[in-house]
Amino acid sequence: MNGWLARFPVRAAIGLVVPALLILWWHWRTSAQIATFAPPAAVGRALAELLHSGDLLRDTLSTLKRAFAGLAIGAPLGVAAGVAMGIWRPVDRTLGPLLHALRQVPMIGWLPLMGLWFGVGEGTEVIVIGMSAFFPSMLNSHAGVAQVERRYLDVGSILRFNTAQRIRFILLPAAMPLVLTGITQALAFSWIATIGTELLTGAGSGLGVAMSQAQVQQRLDVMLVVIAVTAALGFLINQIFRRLRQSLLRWQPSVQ
Amino acid sequence: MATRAFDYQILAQTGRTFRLERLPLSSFVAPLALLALWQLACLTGLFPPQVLVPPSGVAKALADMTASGELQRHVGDSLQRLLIGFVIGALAGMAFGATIALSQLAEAAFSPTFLTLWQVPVIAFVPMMVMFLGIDEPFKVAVVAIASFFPMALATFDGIRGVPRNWFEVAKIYRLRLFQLIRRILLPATVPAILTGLRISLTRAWVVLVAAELLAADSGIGQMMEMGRQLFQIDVVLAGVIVSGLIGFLLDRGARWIESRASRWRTA
Amino acid sequence: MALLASTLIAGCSGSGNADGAGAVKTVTIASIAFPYQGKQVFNGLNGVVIEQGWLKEQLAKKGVDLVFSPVSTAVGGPLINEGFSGKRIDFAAYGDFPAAIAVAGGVPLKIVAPVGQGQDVYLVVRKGLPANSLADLKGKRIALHRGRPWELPFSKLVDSKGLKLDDFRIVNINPAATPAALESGSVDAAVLMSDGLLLEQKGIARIIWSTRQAPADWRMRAELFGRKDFVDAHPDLTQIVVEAFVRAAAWSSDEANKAQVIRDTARGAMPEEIVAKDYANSDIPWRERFSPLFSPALRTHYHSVADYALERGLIRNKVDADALLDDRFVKQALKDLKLEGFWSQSAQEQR
Repeated sequence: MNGWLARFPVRAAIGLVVPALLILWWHWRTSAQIATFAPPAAVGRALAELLHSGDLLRDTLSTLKRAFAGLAIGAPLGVAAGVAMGIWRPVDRTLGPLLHALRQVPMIGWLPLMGLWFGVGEGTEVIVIGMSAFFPSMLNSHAGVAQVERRYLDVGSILRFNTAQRIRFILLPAAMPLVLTGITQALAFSWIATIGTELLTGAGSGLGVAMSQAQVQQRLDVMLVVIAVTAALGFLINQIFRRLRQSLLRWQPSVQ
Repeated sequence: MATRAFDYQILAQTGRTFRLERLPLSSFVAPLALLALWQLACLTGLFPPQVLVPPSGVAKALADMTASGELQRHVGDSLQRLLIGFVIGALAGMAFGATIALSQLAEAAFSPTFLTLWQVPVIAFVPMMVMFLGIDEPFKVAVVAIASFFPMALATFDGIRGVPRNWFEVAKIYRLRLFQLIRRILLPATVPAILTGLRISLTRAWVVLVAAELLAADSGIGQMMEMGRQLFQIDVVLAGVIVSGLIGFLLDRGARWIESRASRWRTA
Repeated sequence: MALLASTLIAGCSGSGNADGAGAVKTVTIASIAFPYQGKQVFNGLNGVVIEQGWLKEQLAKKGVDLVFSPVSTAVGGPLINEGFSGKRIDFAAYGDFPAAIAVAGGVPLKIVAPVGQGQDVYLVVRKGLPANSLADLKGKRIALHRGRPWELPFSKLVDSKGLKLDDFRIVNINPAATPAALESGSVDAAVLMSDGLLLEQKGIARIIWSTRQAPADWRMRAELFGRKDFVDAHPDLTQIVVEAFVRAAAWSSDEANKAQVIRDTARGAMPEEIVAKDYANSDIPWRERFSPLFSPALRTHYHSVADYALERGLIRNKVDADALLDDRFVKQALKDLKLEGFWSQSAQEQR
């Protein structure tokens, strides 16, 4: 490993080269080809405008609320399902293929149908987001339980653990890394699903809605601001969850 | 980036867990139960038949559309876009992933930008891309390419980074040239990760394509569903859901099969 | 803001409304709304009804809440149809074709009040395309959002030239995405409402045809539709709603308020001068613009819509246009408000 690359300031500087080049290129390329092309200056102004009007804050909070609501519903259910499938073979055999097939249907595709059956509103959106969070949690929890080393389970049977004890003292702690990975992924998926549903619905408040409205109003500068905010937020939340996971699993020797 | 490697291994392994199950009869229980429940719900009249279309209605819609060739046309258009975009995106992803895995400098320069862009759901780019590329084929192919690019790049990166250090040292001891390095060490070592990455990219790309078609297209499964919705033909919408789910499922199974063949060769 | 919040809550509670019989707690009216200054604003008569506040008061006296449910123009009628079907909305001010789709789809509706004299539809081609008539566009890509009211006038145009929809490549994108598509050349032409005028003004496109050049009957119309079972079960509430709209119509028809009406219609949607131009384009006198009278022309229009859509395979079942019209409420409202004669029946016949 090159010594000088390991130093943070150097890395940071190099990392900024690409974005800087992009911004410079963008600044010079304000061609009239697309009447709505937005130079960096305009985007800066749009950012200020959105911050000032409080719209950005409102939309961000809305999106966050939905994403976490969906996560709060989908992830626990997913974990429960995955654990159940990991422990009891019959459950796995029956539910497994079906859930696997359902997983392949684009989540977004459900939205019009859900809207039709249950009404367009927060409830429906959160359900779809919850579904997106469900599958990664399920898959990873299932894997987590399935991978618990035999010797731990053997200890359990020596000590004559009943099922509840087995779950509590052996399976859950051993599966925890994967379960938490699943939740982190579920978060990413629910974030994506939130933006997607907001884009498709186009009403109310939220970052995806803001993007859709910016498209209606032909305002590329606003759109870029919202995309940047989405990226930044996604990154931030992801980092937070990772740190959380690492600290929760500190006691595990093998976790990276 | 190290934690990402962890994620990918997990996804890969989870895949293997499912692959090992063959499909016994009991696996059909749940879908049949769902079908029965669906039919029951229609019979109770909880929802009017136009809204919760009974399975027979959906089957009829599927039959009609197959007979008129409409279904094949939409499926064909969607799959075509998927193929072209996937090939472009996956290749680009592999090249990019390999580059940043092998070069420290490249990683330092590109990975922050890459990781940040990775945070934006591809679907969020759709309105902007529509503004630049319009709603023609290039737009849809581009969406698929982008959706395939990211997972592929990450998988390649992890695959290469996952190669133990000492293997590189062995290469150095034997004074292998780059080409030989790739062929005899890197390729065999990274094939599993890359194949997994391909599978994940493919299934992700399919989902994103259908979503993009829902928003803006003139043909394709997503568009078929959207038009069905606009004309209040819910049976068409449901038919679209089933078809897209089925195709996604088949793509996934197909990719897993290829993976299993390849890993069999590897352990031999 | 409160309206938005209550809309969301109403949405959450799913089918919170009783489906006819039984106590009603909320009356929900859906309509196209535009984002403006952080809120959703309704234009046309809906906006006036909200501003006047009369409807809210009257319903409150009966212990009933009023909710206006906003629908984005990008989605339009289809969303409203879903709402009607799920009995989540009771009334909607929206277009003729989506309503026909709903009725054909098994969701019975009634027209309880016309809210205007219809709107013009424009066929535009992108700048730089040397096409001057529909025939020139054969084989080209035309943006047309399906299931929306402007599909019918366009379809009729196509028929009248002896062509078929298949002679073109129809691209189903919503009006919000259309300008960008025209500009980048992804589509060669588009069928739009007054946004067509805006595009011409911006130099992005040229209008080569509009319903001005067509029989009056071709214009797309929007009315206040109500769910049949709601209307049948609650004629009293329906009456109040219709009266509110008639009041709004009377206010809007006043020349003195014309500027205000145009200003409000422009909010979040089109620039004022485009709105004014669109209104001026059709030679309907301002006074008659918002006439809620059920004219023979209205009846003919809906027969035509129903027959045409069925014939074209756009809907699968026959729609009984006569059953659709229900003029009792308007008649009563005119009598109560002493507005008989305010709008002239003959003016309707002219158009």
